[in-house]
Amino acid sequence: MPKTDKYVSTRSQPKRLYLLAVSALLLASVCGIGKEYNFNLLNELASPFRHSPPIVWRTREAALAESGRTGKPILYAILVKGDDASIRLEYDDFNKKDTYEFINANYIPVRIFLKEKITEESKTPLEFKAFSEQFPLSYRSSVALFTVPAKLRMRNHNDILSSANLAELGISEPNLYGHQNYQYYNNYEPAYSYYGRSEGGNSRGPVLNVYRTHEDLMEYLFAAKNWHHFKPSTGLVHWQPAKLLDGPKPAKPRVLVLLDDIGQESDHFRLNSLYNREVVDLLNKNCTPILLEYDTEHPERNKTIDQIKNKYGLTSLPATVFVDAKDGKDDVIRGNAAEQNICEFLRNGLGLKASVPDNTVQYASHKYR
Amino acid sequence: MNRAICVNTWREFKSNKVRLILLTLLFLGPLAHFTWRRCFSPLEIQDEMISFSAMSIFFALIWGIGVVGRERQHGTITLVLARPVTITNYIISKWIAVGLAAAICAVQALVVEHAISVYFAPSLLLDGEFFANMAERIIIAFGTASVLVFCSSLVTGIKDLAIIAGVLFALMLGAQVLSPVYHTAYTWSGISQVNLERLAHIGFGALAAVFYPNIPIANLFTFGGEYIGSVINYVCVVSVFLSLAVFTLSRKEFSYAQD
Repeated sequence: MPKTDKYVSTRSQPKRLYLLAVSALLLASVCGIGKEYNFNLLNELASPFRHSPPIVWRTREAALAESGRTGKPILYAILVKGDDASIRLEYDDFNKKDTYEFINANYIPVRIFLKEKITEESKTPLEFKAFSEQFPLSYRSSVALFTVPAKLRMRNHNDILSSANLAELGISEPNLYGHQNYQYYNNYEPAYSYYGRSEGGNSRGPVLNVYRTHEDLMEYLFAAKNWHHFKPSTGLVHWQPAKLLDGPKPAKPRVLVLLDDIGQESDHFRLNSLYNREVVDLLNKNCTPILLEYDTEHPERNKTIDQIKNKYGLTSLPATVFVDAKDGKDDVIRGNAAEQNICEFLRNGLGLKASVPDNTVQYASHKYR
Repeated sequence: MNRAICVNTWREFKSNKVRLILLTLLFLGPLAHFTWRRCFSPLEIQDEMISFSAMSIFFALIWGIGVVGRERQHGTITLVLARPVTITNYIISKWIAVGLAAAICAVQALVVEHAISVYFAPSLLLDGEFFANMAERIIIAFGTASVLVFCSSLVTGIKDLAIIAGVLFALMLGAQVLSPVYHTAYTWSGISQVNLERLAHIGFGALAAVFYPNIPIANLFTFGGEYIGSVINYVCVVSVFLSLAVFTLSRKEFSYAQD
């Protein structure tokens, strides 16, 4: 081929392609690599976190005060920088009208924004220290919604996650699962944590760790609003009226059970001891069981229970008091004692022989109904 | 782009029976899998059963292995370059030929899978997942094709397959060897665990950009930094590997090539 003006060598180098490659490499190095990296300028500039959704966020202090005043639950939205789900939640789902209207109407929302994963509790940013004591933030690397009912606003996460209401736990026959499984239902967030939506039909939890669709989010918001709205279970014991405390001594000795209406310890007591075959048998057949529940929301209604606590020197609940013991002395067992200990305590009070522990037999609760 | 080079690449592919058999298996594999699932999980019949968009990588592999190397081995590249065709034009043509063929095959397989799903559940006809998967298949096919053209320009024949397998093996081996170092590095190196995780994240991000060059369609709707970032990464991978391919091939000796 003659060398004219249009002549191009076979080995001519594509300068424009090289320029594009170098530019793209530089841009990718500075901006595109690693959404969690601090130098990710592009992510910073285009971050959806720059555009706040129309949710009226409060500070935690303001939310605690407002919750005490209005009785609305607090919704903590824990968002982590660079987390896909956090971006989707804040940029997409929080901007949907039904979501932000529902949140603004029914919750007191608080935004907890973590710029990076906290590996040690001691390194928690100062502004979130108080919250982290309530709900540990260390090693959290993805989004979470955490609903705290007004009456539990100052409690720690163990008490908030705990429930003794069978409907809230999504179970109807707790004993059929074996009592060890209550711990699972009580301590961990139910199906929402792992599957995004409830699988047990009506199991509800105050924590949302994973969600797939907008419907999942709305389902959570509808359900979590009512967490701890219902009364906790009182087990299978045939409770007698509290007025028997002041009247003449009944034929069967009186046993007082004092419980908190919220809190992990009392919830465990309700689900373990008050569904235990031996405990229920002893209380129903040989005793006059009386239940006194502490009302957290209305302290003025707790005069009787406060008097009993003072009388027996009780500083915390639950507690069980055997009033009319054989030896004439009132006996007290403090805290969430194991079922076997409660049984022995009742047998001692009744003057019965100690039983042989039998943990292998599971009790079918419906026989009592 | 040179049309004759593209057509020649496709013709050469058609003459290779092993590749045709592999291509057929790649079509039939997911269909057999979904049929099996439909037989034993009747509840899933209503679901959209389409394979991952990453399947496009395998289509690109079948089309792209030895795309330049085989021409060098057979000596036909010297004849092509004896014509008024620049190496840049040659490489771009090969890239488009492989990318287009892989994208068409991948989309064709997807359409068949989708058609079967629609047969069982007609409401899935305009399912967004199908269109997103289709777009991603095309994007991945062209991204992977650029990497394969570069690998093929390094060696003769289909030794680029050995290069790719070797690199993957070395990466796996390296990950195993470095894993204990990584998990203890924060104790002796003075680098905090968070920064170590960031460094690892950058490494994985770069590897993912090369071996899985994709622009997630779901991110398209957010128009956030992530979307722009993935576009930049994709453009970077394609332009860098095509540039390297041109640069490498320019330094090879071709007896009949001009100047």
